Amino acid sequence: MTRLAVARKASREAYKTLFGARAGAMRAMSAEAAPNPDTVPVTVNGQEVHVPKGVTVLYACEQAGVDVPRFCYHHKLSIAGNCRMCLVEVEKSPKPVASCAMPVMPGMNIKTTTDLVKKAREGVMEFLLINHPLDCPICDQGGECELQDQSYIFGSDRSRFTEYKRAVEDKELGPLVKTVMTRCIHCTRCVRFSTEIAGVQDMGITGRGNQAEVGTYISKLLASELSGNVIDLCPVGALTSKPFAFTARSWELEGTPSIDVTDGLGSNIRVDTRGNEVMRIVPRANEEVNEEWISDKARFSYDALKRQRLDRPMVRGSDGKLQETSWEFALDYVAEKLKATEPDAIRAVAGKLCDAESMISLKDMMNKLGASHTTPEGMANVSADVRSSYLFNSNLVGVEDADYVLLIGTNPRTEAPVLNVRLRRAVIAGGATVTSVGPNADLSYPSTHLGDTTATLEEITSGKHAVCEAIKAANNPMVIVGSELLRRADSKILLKKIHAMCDELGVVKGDWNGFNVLHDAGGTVGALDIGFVPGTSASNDVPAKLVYSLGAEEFDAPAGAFIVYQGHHGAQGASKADVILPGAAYTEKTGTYVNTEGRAQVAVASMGPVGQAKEDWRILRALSEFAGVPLPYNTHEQVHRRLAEVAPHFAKLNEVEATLWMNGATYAHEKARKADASIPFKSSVENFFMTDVISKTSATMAKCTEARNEMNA
Amino acid sequence: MSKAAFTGLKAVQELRFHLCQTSKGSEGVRNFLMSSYKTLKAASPSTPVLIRESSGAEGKLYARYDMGVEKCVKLEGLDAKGVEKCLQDLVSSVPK
Ligand code: SF4
Ligand code: FES
Repeated sequence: MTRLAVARKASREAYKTLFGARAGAMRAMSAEAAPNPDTVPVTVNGQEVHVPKGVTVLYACEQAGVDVPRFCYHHKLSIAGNCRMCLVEVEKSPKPVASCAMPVMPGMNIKTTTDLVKKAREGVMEFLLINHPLDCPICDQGGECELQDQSYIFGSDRSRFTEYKRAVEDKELGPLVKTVMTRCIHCTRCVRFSTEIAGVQDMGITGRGNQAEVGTYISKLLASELSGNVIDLCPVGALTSKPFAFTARSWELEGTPSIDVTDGLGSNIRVDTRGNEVMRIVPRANEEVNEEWISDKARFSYDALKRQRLDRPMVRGSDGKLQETSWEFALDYVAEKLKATEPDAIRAVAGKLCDAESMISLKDMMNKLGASHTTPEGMANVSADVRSSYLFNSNLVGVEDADYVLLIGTNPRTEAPVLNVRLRRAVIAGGATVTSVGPNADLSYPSTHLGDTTATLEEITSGKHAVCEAIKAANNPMVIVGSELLRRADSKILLKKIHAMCDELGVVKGDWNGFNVLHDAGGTVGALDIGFVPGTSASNDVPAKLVYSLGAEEFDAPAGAFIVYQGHHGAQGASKADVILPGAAYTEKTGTYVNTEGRAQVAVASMGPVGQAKEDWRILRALSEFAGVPLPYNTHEQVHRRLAEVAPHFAKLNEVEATLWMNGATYAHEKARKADASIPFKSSVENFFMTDVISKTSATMAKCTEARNEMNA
Repeated sequence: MSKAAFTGLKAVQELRFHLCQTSKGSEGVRNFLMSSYKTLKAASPSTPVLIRESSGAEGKLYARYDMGVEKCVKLEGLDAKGVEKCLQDLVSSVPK
């Protein structure tokens, strides 16, 4: 029988539990005109709308297309109702009501354009501005500040305030978030984000009334991998980006939709550039992937795009030093070497940040040369046959349906902080149980550590462990396997056992597939999807004489092998190279990345590559010509068509395809061997801030590492 | 079906099946893979048998031979037997 994990769409009832029915209902339903027992009729500015029972007045206004100004309300956070900016008039109510906190009643008559509402908003603005500095010209929030926008509409043109303004000492939140706390309007969004979403209890309000201050109680940095999100949440300029400070004004920037590659989630980002320079990276909302959040690594490692770049072709001269050369010479040189090397002695390794276009170009070229030894960096052992064996089958949104989660060799908090937000929600709001075989880490929610040895895992897979009963009893049990497990030499034998257990304990049943692999970089799934794995004739019997590294930093190369490094940063991989072909970083090329759940997404180039560097697939296209095996595509569309010819889901961008589960057949041919008991399970991410060539080059990430070490010291 | 049916598989560098997860037209491909994937792997463990599903995709089989030469046959509408026949044809007709 074929079992399908049905692709789940965003509208999840699971949200409901989080912030009570109100917030949940808001997202789960759309307002329909037809009367429905679960909806109530309300009137907004004379227009009748039907909204779900129990939603707020603010939601009703949004449904009617009426914008209500707000500071403290945010649809991802609990309702605070403390800024009073959202006041509206409700007929028969003696006072204006705070629409973000007031549930709708049937037949309510809501008015937002009356004099009373205008006066109320003007009053609130006047109070807020009493203690707000008038420093918009030197404030980084200027141009995208909610307070500034509102004061254009409701602000008074002169002040009645003649006393001294209050001043608040700035707080030290670490190397990422800059604070100017005098600007704070005490909306508490940042406090609610830290406690509810990030799960760190570091921020709060101290003092009362005029003395109230927002900050960490004791001076310490925000110990969260998601701290940068408070910058987006803060409606004023109290919390801004430290690395971005005073570098650009928001209206000078040009935004390009892109995809983050620093972890396996494929978070949707917007790359803001000025000229040929990335000025900052901010999230784009995608409810199915990253909601509205991105990790600090995704947001702040961009400074590395200007450091240690490979910007011109280089060859190693007779003196052993790398020397600048021309593209023509470099390509010709590599092509001659490729032609002169026997195909069985050629190796191609694809790095973990590669786009699918460049990988398919490299694979096709290698195949045409008769070489079939192609491997993804660090994943030489992984079978690419069946997609369900290496994907996050229950999808990222599916995490919120899980009631039992078994983590195997993974720390989701450091490997995929944004996914950890969903896991946290499943635990805190959904009551899920989390147990872990692997690193014993603080996940920001309660979890039980079962051990970190293969023995513990084997106890579970053989059904002897106490947790097996709990997994069996769960409705939607879930197993998350970390990518470090895939890198182990005994990965196949472990996966065979885990697969069998998934069938046995009902982790895969009906339309639920709870077997999940969490990848830790943006390019790995793409490599597996296109089958960047060794072909039939590939073998290690012939020692490598030529290694082609497409942005791979770690690869085996015997002494004397000729090494070609095509990539964007001069680091470990490039230092070994005999020839360097400068490629483009993920912000500089239009490329397809497949995230850990198998969703193909396109990152659009926000600028050109630096110096003489070129888009990676174009380099390979040119090289194939020099090597006498021209690739049959000339435009980006044509490469993309080739991708769809290799794997049809590349034609369906932004969607997740349900995966076929092979009922244990995936690893049936693997001989039963003993797993290597001497190696404990660990996370693939030791230091969250430095995991790939970009984040390792970033000065900001280095500062974060230092600050975190100091804090933990 | 025995391993012997696929002995030629070692001459093929890679197989790629395209199929839809639910369509009638891909049913034969699905049935074939469910029953014979193990046999294929047993016949040649080192040959990648890439199973690539996508809703609405047409049943297809690509074989990649030496020097990057690829051949494709349509499997849409065939039953498991027909799929096996197509596979054997591809495996036995290695281009020179
Ligand atoms: S710092 Fe910003 S987000 Fe936090 S309470 Fe103040 S205004 Fe709100
Ligand atoms: S948005 Fe309603 S009180 Fe702040």
